[in-house]
Amino acid sequence: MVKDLQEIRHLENRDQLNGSASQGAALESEHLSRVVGEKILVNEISVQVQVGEVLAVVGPSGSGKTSFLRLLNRLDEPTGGIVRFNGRDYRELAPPELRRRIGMVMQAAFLFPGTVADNVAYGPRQRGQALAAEQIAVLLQRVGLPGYQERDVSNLSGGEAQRVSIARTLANDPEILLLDEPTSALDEDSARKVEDLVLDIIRERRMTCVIVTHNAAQARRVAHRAMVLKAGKLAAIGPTDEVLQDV
Amino acid sequence: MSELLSIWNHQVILGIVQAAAAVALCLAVVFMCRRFAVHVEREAALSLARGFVQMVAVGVLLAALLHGSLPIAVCILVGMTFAAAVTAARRAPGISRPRLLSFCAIAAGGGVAIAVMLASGTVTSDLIILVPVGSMIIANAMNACAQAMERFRADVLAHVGQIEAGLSLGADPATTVAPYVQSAVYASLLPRLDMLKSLGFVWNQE
Repeated sequence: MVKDLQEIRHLENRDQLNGSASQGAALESEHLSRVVGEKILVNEISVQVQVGEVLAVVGPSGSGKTSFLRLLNRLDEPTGGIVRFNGRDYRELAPPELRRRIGMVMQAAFLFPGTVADNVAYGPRQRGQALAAEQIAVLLQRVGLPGYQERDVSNLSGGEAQRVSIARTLANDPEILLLDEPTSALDEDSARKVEDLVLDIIRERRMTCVIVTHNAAQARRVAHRAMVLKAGKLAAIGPTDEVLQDV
Repeated sequence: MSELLSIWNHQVILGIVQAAAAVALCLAVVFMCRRFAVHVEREAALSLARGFVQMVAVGVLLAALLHGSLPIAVCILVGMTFAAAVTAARRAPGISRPRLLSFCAIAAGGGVAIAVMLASGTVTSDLIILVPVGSMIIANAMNACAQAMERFRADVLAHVGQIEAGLSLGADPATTVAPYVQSAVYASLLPRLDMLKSLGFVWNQE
């Protein structure tokens, strides 16, 4: 029964997001490439992500999923092509500003030593802003960790750490969320809870989102469209159910 | 001219005698090793030959140069700094422009120390004093630089995830690596601080 309700809610999420998916490209790559030495990691990928859309990036290990995602917030520098953020070449923005607006949640939480509150306040602190205690409390409440402010991050479980990582990213109030297999390092139960949390947040904030996942079922649950990468090249893109019907 | 030749001859003879004394000591060690079936004859012979040539060459060079003027001393110290930078840079593969970075670091640290010592009269500008003291300071600066770069590189490699997480949250690169710069500098200074603490009791020339 609970599972059915979750499925209904996911479908509602997708319908709501589908309704807002044609307002214009929030993020666009054009012939985006990255070559390191003689290895082609990302090969001439052109794709548009609409405002409010959730795009899943799927493909086998080593196909360039994470490499592609890292180019979208300039964590790595493209060796060819261009990325447009809200229609503008993203190189017009300073990398710290770009990365604040295009938030990223990584596969592992990579929390900084200290308390949960320190971690949540990290992003705004880089811009000289102090996050109020109430704001930290609200963010932690939102990710299901009420009262965790003063906990040392070394005492958190994997699922809790990933929730803190999500809260830390949300503290920057990003317009776009990049998710790099955010549940792959978690056990099944934690993974599903974190996935539900991410879905709820995307729905609430009507966020544009690019999620890398090796899990086709997860891609079907969360994304409007999916793109399949093979050896760094775009092999297919389209509505998730169509693209992943044979996966 | 005759005075210079006299000094030259004196220095060369002194250098050869010192080298011969060193060879004699090394041969004694080789014979001791041989007695306990530790065979280091070949390596010892090669090392001795090389050391002898180097010592004579350096002795001749110093004998010629140590009677030069302050500009010559400065040139020698700059040359030493460059050699130290090349050596220190080998500890930092992957760091961009390591030789330039090492040269600037060693020159800044060693240069300031030498300048202050000169200005305060701790050492005189005589080449025969300045070059040996300067070389010791440069050697220490080289060790500190190499240790700092090695530690920094190791720390960055061990914390790539956290550094990238910081960058992804909008931090500038200098902020994300600041903790590792601090720990690298601290680690490189520790041996020097220990030397300072034991000054007068323990002589520890690195």
